[in-house]
This record gives sequence, C-alpha cells and structure tokens, in this order.
Amino acid sequence: MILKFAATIYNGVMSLPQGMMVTLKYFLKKPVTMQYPDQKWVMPARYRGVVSLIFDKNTGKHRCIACKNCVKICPNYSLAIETAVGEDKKWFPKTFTLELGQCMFCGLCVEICPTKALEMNKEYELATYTREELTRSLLP
Amino acid sequence: MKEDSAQDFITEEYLLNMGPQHPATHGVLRLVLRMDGENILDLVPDLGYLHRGFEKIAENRTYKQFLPFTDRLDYLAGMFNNHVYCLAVEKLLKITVPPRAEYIRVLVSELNRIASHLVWFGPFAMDLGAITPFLYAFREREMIIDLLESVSGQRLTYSYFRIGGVAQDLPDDFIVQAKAFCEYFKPKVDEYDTLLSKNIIFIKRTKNIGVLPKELAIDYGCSGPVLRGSGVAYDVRKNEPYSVYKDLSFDIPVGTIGDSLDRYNVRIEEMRQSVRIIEQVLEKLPGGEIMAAVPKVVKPAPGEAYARIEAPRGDFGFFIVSDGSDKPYRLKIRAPSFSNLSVLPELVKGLKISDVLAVFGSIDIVLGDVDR
Amino acid sequence: MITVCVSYMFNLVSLFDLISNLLLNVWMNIGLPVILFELIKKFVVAGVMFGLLSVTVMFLIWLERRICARFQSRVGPNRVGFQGFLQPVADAIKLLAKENIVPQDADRLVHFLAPPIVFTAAFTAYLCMPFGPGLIALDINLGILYIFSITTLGVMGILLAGWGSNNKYSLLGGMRSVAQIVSYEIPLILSVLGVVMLTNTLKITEIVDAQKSFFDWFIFRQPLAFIIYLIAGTAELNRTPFDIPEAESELTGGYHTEYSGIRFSMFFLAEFTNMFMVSAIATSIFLGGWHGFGFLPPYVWFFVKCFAVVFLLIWFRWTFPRMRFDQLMDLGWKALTPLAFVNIFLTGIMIFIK
Repeated sequence: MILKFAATIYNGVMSLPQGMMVTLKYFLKKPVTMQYPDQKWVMPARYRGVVSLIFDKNTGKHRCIACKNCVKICPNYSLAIETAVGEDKKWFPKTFTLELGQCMFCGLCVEICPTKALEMNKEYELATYTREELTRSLLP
Repeated sequence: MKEDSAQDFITEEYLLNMGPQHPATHGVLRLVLRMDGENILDLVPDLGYLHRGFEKIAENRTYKQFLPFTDRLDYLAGMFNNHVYCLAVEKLLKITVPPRAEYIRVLVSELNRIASHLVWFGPFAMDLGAITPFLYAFREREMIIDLLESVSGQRLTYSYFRIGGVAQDLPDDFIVQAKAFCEYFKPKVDEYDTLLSKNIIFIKRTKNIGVLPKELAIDYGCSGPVLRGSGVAYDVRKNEPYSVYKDLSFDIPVGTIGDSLDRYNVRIEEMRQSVRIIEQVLEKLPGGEIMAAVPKVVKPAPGEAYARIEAPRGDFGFFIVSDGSDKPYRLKIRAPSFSNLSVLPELVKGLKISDVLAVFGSIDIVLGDVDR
Repeated sequence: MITVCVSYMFNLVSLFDLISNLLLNVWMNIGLPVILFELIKKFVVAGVMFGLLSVTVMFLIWLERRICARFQSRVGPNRVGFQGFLQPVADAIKLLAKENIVPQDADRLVHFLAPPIVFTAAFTAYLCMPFGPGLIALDINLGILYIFSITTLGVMGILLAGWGSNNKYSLLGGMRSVAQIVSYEIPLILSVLGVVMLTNTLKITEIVDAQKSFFDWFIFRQPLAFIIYLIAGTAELNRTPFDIPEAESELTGGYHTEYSGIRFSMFFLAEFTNMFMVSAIATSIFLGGWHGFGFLPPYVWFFVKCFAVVFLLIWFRWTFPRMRFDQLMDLGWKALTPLAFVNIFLTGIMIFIK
C-alpha cells in the first residue's frame, strides 16, 4: 500500500524531468522554421494561386475564346468577361476581370476551360492597400 | 452582532462571458458562465458568430459549384467535407468510383485526420498552459499540409475530390514522401506521450474531469472520439464501412469512463491507427482511372440521399434532396461538432473555471463546423 | 597598466572608491558641503543600479524569448539589432508610445496606483542584494527578511490591479494571485530558514561568505530546501506551471488584462525583475553567491549562476502545463510546507549532533 503510493509519487515526479528532456532535445537541435521574407517557400507545381491567362511566350497571345464557361462555373461569381467579335469573326474577351476578394481559389475555372487558356500562378502575397486593387484585369 | 456580520458577508453569483473573443474558445464561440466564485453553476454556449448559411448557399449553386464551399465547413478537415459531399451526390447519381480514386481518397483523408488531430492536440495542451507541445504539433502538421498541398494545390481548402473521383492523380514522389512521413511521425507520437500524456500535472488536470457517461453521450448524439471516449466502440468506418475501409485493418480505440483524459487518449491512439491505415493504403494502392464517367452537367434524378463518414470530430453527414434540376433542392449538413458541443453544459457543472478548458478542449469543436 | 586595469576589474569596489574620492576632491576644491556630495552619491548609485537592472531585465526578456524559441524549434526575435538583442528596447518604445487606456468603470486611482507599487516593490528588493564582495547598496542585518517582505508587497499591487480594473477576469486573477503568493510565501521562507539556522545570520553577505569553497555551497547541505525554494519561487513568480493568476487561456491575462502602454510595461518589467530576484536569492543562498572558480571577476560568477537558475525557470515554463488552482493550494499546504518543516527539523538535528 505504502509502496504503491510511493511508486505513484515517484512516477509522477519522474514524469517531469522526462518531459524536460524532450524539450531539451529540441533546444539542442536546429530550429525548423523558415525566416520568411529572407527565405521563401517553393510552391508545389499544383499550387493554386491567382487565376491568370496563359500568354504564349513567342506570340504573346492568349487562348481565350470568351466562351464564359469559367464565368458560369465560378461559385462566387468573381470572374467577369465582356465579349466582342473580332475582325476574323471570332469571339474574344474585351475585358476579363477577376474580383480577387471574392475568389476562393478553388480552381474550377481552370479545370473547365475548353482551350486550357487559364492557369493558377504561384502568387501568394496578395494583400493590397485598397479595395480597388483587388479587382484585377487578366488581360494586359 | 454575530448575526449582523454573517449577513454582511453575502456572496453573489455572477455571469462571466467567455468569448466571443477569448484565447481559449477556438474561434468565435461565446460561453456564458454562471459562476459562484471560481465554481461553475451553469454554462450556456452561444453560437452563430461564424454562421455563413452554407445550407442556403447550396440551394443556389450547382452540384459542382458547391464543392469548394464544403471545404469551409470543418476547415481543419477539408478532405472529409469533400468526401462526404461527393459520397452523397454519387449516391444520387448512382456512380461507382474507380478503386484507385477510392484509395487515394482514403489516403488523403487519413493524412488529413492526423493533421486535424494535431491541431486539436496543440491547442488542447495550450489551454492547459503548456505552449511547447502546440508548436511541436504544428511542426508535424506542417509536413502533412505540405504533402496535401503537393496533391491538391492548397493547404487547407483542398477542393481535391470531385463527384466521381478525385481531381488529379497523386504526384510522382508522393508515395515516397508519405512513407517517409509515416516513419517520421510514429516516434513523434511517443514523444508527445512523454511530454504531455505521462506528465503528472497534465493527468491531474484531465483525469476524472468532465465525465461523460455512456448513456448521456448517446442521448446527446455525440459521435467520434467524444463518444468513443465514453466507451462506445462506434465508428462509421467500422459500423457502416464506406469507401475501402472494409479492406483495411485498424482498431477503434475506446476509453473507459469518458473523462477528458479518455478522450485525449482516444485521439492520440487514433493518430497511430491513421498511420497504420496510410501504410496499408500505400501498399495496396491500385492503378487505373481516377474519375468515373460523370455527365458534364450533374442533374440527378429526383430523390434524396444521405451519406455519412467518420470525420475527425465524429459522424459527419450530408442529406441532399434533388428535384431533378442541376441544383440541390435542399441540403442538410449533420455537423459532429454541433452535437458534441451541446453536451458541454452537462459536463462542466460544478467544476472550476480552469476545468472548463480541460473539458472544452477535449471535446474538440471547430466553429466552422458548429455554425456552418 | 593592464594589470592595474585587470585588478580593478576584479575589484570594482576599489574602482568606485577611487572615482568617488577623485570627484570628492574636485567637489571640496569648489567648496561645496560634503553632505550634499554624499546625498548626490546615493542618488547616483541608485540611478546606476536602476539602469543596470533595467538593462539586465531587458536582456532577460530577450533571453527568455530566444530560449523558449529554441525549446520550440523556432528562432525567436532576431531582427532588431544583433540577433534581436534590441528587441526588448523596441518593444519598450512601442509600449511607451501607446495610449494608456483606462476602462470606463475602473476605479481610476487604484487602477493608476497598482503598476507603480508592483514595479517599486520589485526594484527596491535589490537594495540588499550583493552582486559581488562589497557590491551591495545597503548591507543590513536583516537582509533576507527585508527582501522577502518587500517582494511580497508586490502582491498588493496585483490585487489592486485586479480590483481597480473592474473586470471579472482581472479580479479573479488578482484574487488567485494573493491566495497563491500568501500560501507559497510560507514554504519559501521556511526553506531558507534551514540555511539561516546553519549560518546563524540573516545577513546575506555573511551567508555568502559561509560558502567559500564549492562543497560549502548550501545546495549540497540543504538539497531539499533548494528544491522547495525553487518550486515555491516559481510559484511566487506566477510562472508556469503556477501561472494561474495570468493564465492567458483561462483569464485572458489575469490582473493585467485591462492595462496597456506604459502601465503594462511596468507589470512586464516587474515580472522579469522578480524572476531575476528569485534566481539571485537562489544564487546567494544556495549556490555560493559570487564565489566562483577564479579566472573571472566575482560579479561575473554571480551573474553566470543567476542565469543558470533563470535558464532552469525558463525550462520549467516552456515544458509544463499549468496546474489548477486547488491543486496548487494542495501542493503548497500539503506537500511543500510539511516538507519544509521536515527540512528544518532535520537541520536542527544535524546542528544538535554537531
């Protein structure tokens, strides 16, 4: 009885230095954190940042045909396209705006695009000073 | 003379507002405590600060559009929300998901379960005053989040599942990294044990605090670790196996008396079991398609479907009524946190103010889940 | 020249005497009264001590943050100055520039008075603390008694802060603090009593002088007392695992919830000053004070030992969870106080046998 009591006390008291050894172990190890503005995280290939149009490197043209599939699928109605007909009788987007404050980065627009004209870039520092700056035009 | 002084010494009950801005309410929950000194006479949780009306939003979105919204329900376990929603819609559409997609779903879900439990473990320790375990838990969680980010492209709001499968196949080095993580994580759980679970102060703070009897837990509709902590071996993964859980072997940890320590131990053990499941899935992962044939516009036949899964916080269900259009007619979310929270007033009566946190933390709610 | 400099480094007192005599000569030549000089000298000494202590406390804040960061696999503040050395200074400037918010229904006078009381109590305790041979502001006979009584005064400020803020959390924190400090004061003093019995004095310099060689340190002759002192001292400091008066996850900060700006910084500084005080007492009474192993000036040895104890306190804080209020009382009254009495009893027997 007394022995059992003593054992409980001993185990209880010994649990404290054991816990302290765990913290000491990490005290002697190197920190695992990243020094953010100096070091930056490499975003994985699939990272879903801001929706943007893909511009061909050589011609500088995008592939958007203004079908408005992305506008329709967007759950938050954050995309807007004004269409126009070009000289070659083809539809093209006159304006293509993204309301970044409404976007929830789900990537449905990229998935549905029939011409694969959209992508989500690796941008993640999206804070702005004014509300107006959140409305972005995807066209240059 | 003596009587006078006795009458002068009048004690009063008072109300204490814990929250909506309080470091330990894990979000925006307000607990109204009726107190006598340090002792609690009564507690009323006041909800609704995070209500976003998802059930109504669902009625105005197509089936495919609503999927990203589900991420935001229980924001610590986005995969589970996706999963249960997809299951419900697949039931309506009568689609069978290809096996590879099912395995991938289970794989990412279990990883997410560990991440979610880690976010419970850290703040629970912090509620009890130990800040270091919090950072250790987040260090490990970071690795899971990185893994899930490499799969889905987001760190919390995954939107990775699709009706009929998953959005993309696993990246090339995912399996290697997941295996490495399992190896890394197993000793860490033991370390948490040394650091916290065996600590005499921790045991004193949680043992026999907030005892939830079996019957009461069932009456209140508790589920998940809260129910299992009370000794009821009920787990949707075992009792109504969905996805491929039938083919996987894992144990369901149960507690004995249902105090905070039991609930704690159940969750810690669940993390170990999740690692076990992940390892099995990584072994068994079949090849093949990741998407079933799903019509471009999802228009289920009129009818209704209820799907449920075992989320980290308990029995998570979606009830969808379809009227044949491309939008749900009605969508009801059965949130585990809501039922689990409702039992809190029963548990804390007569305890001290410090114990509220020991009990509240062990119940582990997410306000996004409670308020929806 | 160098040897002279080194000898002065080792013996700061003679250096101070030298400077003071030089200045006194100049003073006398001008023809001003000596009493005035003595008075000004006292003020200057107090000012220098206050300044040095503030710097030490600032360093302590930085140290705590860095060490706790390393315990948690983080880096800690490392931006302001070399390795974040000036971070506490930046924090202090920020706090000083902030608005002093007084809650609408607060008891303004009490709310105003509380931080200075805590602050003063914490700093005046150093009056009797010997940092080295002769490096003591006031070497009174009742040194230990003075220190313990003046540090306990701080609790009054905490109670006033809790009461004056007119906030339920603050009041709960203040009440808890009083109950805790009053009950832990007893084992704290009882643990030191064993040492006092062995040395037959309450004068700290004499106690330190009694532990000249390494094996004379009272930690070896009074190990139980040292453990009791460390636990009770941690409780006196309101640090984890005994930080129930602050308990940020329960009481959102306890007694200083409603304080901001300079008043908050007073509480904050007082907390760390007390922390250094507890380790300084532990050093003086149990760890041989300024007596070291040569090759370093005595006051450096004193600080080295102090920071070792501080490290231990920080280690405690960042490892353990917090205790509950009633468990804390249990520990204080049912375990530590009887143990302290046992220790005194054993010490008495030891002295009797000798």
